[in-house]
Amino acid sequence: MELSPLPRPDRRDLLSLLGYGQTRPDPATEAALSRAEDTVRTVARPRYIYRIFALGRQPLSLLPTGPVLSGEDIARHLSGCHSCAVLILTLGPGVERAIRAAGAADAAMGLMTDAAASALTEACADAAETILRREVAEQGLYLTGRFSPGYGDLPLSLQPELLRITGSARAIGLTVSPSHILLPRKSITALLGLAHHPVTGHLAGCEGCAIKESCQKRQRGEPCHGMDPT
Amino acid sequence: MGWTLPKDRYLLLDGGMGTLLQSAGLQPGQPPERMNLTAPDAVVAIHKAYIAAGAEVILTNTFGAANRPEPGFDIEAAVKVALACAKAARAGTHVAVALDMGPTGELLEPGGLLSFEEAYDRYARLVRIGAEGGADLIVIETMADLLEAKAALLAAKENSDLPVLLSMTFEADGRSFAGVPVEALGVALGPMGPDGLGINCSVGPAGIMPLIERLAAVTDLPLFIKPNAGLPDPVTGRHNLPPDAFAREMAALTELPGIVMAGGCCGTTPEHIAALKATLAGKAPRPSSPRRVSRVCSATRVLELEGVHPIGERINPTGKQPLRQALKAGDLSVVQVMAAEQEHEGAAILDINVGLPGGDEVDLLPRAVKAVQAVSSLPVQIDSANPAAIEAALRVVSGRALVNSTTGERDKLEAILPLCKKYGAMVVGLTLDEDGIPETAEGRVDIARRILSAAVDHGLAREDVCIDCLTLAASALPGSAGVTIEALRTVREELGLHTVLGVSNISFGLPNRPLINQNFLTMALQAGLTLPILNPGNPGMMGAVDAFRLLSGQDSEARDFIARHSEQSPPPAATASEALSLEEAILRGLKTEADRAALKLLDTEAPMAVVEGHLMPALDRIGRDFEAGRAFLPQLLSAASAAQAAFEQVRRVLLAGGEAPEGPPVVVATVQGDVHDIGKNIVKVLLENYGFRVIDLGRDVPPAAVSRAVSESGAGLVGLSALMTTTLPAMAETVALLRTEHPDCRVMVGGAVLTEGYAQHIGAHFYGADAGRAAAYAREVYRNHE
Repeated sequence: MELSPLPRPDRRDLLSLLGYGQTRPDPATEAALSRAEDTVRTVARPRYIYRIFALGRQPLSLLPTGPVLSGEDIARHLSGCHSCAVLILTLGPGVERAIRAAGAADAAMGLMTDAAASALTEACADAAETILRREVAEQGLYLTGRFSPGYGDLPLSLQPELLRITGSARAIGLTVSPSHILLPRKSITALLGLAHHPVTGHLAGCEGCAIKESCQKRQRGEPCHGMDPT
Repeated sequence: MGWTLPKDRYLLLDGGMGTLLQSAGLQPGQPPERMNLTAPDAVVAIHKAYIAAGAEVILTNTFGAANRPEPGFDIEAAVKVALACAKAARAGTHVAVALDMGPTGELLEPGGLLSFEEAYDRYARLVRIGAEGGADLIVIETMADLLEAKAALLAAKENSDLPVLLSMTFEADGRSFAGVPVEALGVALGPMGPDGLGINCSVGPAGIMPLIERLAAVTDLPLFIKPNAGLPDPVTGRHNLPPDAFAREMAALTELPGIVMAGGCCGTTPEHIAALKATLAGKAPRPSSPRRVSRVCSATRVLELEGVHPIGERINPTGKQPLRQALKAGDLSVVQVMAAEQEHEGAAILDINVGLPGGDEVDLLPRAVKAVQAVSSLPVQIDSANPAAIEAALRVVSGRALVNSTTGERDKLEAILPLCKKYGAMVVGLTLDEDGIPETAEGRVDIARRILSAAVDHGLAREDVCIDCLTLAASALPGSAGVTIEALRTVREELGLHTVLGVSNISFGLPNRPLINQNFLTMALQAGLTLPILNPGNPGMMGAVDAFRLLSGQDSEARDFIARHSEQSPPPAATASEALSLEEAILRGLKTEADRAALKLLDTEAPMAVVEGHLMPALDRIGRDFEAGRAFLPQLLSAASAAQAAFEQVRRVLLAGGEAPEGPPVVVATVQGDVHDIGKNIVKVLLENYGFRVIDLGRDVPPAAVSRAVSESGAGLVGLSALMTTTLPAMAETVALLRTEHPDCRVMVGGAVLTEGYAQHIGAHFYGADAGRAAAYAREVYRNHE
């Protein structure tokens, strides 16, 4: 499905990806960032798909054909939920070409274009989640936040399974490499629990995270899972 | 026997397979090919139902057979059984069995990791099984990537004699997921000689009609459509257009030219095909008559060659030392910079020439084509004297290329024209032959006629031929400009062909070359030059093209001219920026100003004094600011680029003085399996700033390739990057190989998921937590080597 209109990410999210924190960049950099954002917006073709699966127990899995959702963090996130939405989104391959082209001419522009694409991917995922949340609410159900493979102890090896059960290759042109990288790169897969009562889910803490050591958000005291210090 | 198309009626194809297999027990998400082995009777029954409904071509249940093989699943056996099922179902009928080949399910390079060659091999294997197993034809379908479709088409044609139908899938706006416009299918793959082209899956019948009409406007091949049963339900993904409504919408195809076959895709059933049969009964296809225009294309852009289109000439190592050096080291990043710059400057087509004395062009040219396609959306011109290199390059062109060039020499025509035919390329013919370059215009036009006639004999269309009437130095041969102009005029007016000309040779040996070049270009354009080969970075030459297009009425309402020239009135020289010192220009990341400031300093200071007294202090300062959190990555990189511009000026002076400034080599790469290269690129820019000669191997680089680059360059330092936990093993493997094969070489590693501890654990010498620290380490290694 298409996302229209194209959401506009908060400039602060983009600055945060570039390591700025609370500091504002100089006007020249601001202008360059706007150009990078425009480039990405021109070529982005965001497409998303979601499917809802009943949850199997022991082991926790998406019914009827699997896959198993292994690890403690996803179990915590989906606790109290009877089924699970798989949300998948990609900005499409045009964005990747634009990032490469920008980087070939100017490394700084390549970096900023890449960051602008990441920010837009998140904003699009937020927009798709909002649509899903509305549909679910119409059925009187509640939805947790998004939880993606690679967070906490949920393995990246889940990616091919999620694409397979949703038919994402054919539906939105998203594929996954043998090393579990989503291609096109600027893409997101996420699990959201459904329940009959209000749920929020639990994002994993930093403890098991693969980028714990180098994460700038964590160093700035703004971890993904919010203010909860665990 | 052999399968042929009927002339006076529509040929009916079959419908969807997946949904029917699910009703027969296939679990969603399971590969449907498994059903060939687990439930062959169900597969036969589906084929029989389609035959009963009226289908005259049935597609084997092998859509996903080109996917990466799953361990333990014998895909070869599944394909053989699929063929047997289809043949059993059609026994006793005239129905044809088509080997069905869908996409690989993976993204091809450069966006993904699957190489063109591996995709080709997977399809070639299927084709051989299909041909042996008795398929009557091959159907390639649901392609979204033009290059992947080309791999399948080449595999089909090179490994069998079977007829081939090829269809791609597009969204409602006429572009595939990969951004391929519907016309590119006809322009790029039509001339390669499939037996029919089509559109399948995509949208419902109503949505597919305007798309197939667009395809019919660019190809005269037989066309087909296999639409879905309407749009998918957003929640279930099912297609729910009932048979009668499907057939009603399909009736519109009888009004459109070129379509001769029809069937269905996702969600369609034998009932849909039966209803379609009733709708098409007694009706006859309409012939198509596309406009005969020369067209080239990339995967995302189709260019109709009407009017003037400049070809960018800069990717050519002749006389360009940095490009020669990079090509010798196998580093194509310089080629990519040139491609991106020329596109930005307004080139319409990119010429690619990587011929070096002693270089392996057969290996290098296709890699250069891939590198250019990774960063540019322009069509390409393959420029080589080596037919084997041209063929290697044409294979991997994602789009339709020009081949530069053949001549009127018999051997040359016989070597080049069959390649253009096979790969569907346009050809540039130089007006020279065994006797050299004719001195008269008539002589050159005669050769042009011979080239045209040979091309047509080889199956090319007239509009596939362009002629280069050749520019000779006016200083050596007075009057030669007039001969070129006269020949060009005749070729354009009498033969009606497009004309190519490299113009700058005209001024060789004369002062004020730009003045001569620009005037000669205008003369040639006036005489009918349509494809000037020039440096689009040269404002005088591009300006002459822009002005000519405006004055000759090709630029309606002066739109292009205004867009390109309204902001170009150069600011008066005495702005504040002129006063910027080199240090200041670098700190503010201003390339042009840094370049200008360096040029000025070099008037009064020695090159190395400029480096040590101005460049390095500025770089050190921005580096310190970055570490202290006072400057951020975009600024650091902009400063680095500005410093690079200043370095180029220094290097120019040093070269002129006969010194050969070549920094110590450092190899950088993103490890095998990983595609994240931003971090690696940042490190590269900083290293170049500090004078290192960086050999950039790109991304997804196998350990052996890194080791080989170290052997060839003698690098004392390698930088490796990996961003994913899943690609850390590849990094460990690369480090281990380097430690074994190059014990004296240092290895630094970096990437989001790396830690100091892990870097030590895998035996790396240094963990670069950020680009600044990596560059500092490189300088330390280098100092110790000295």
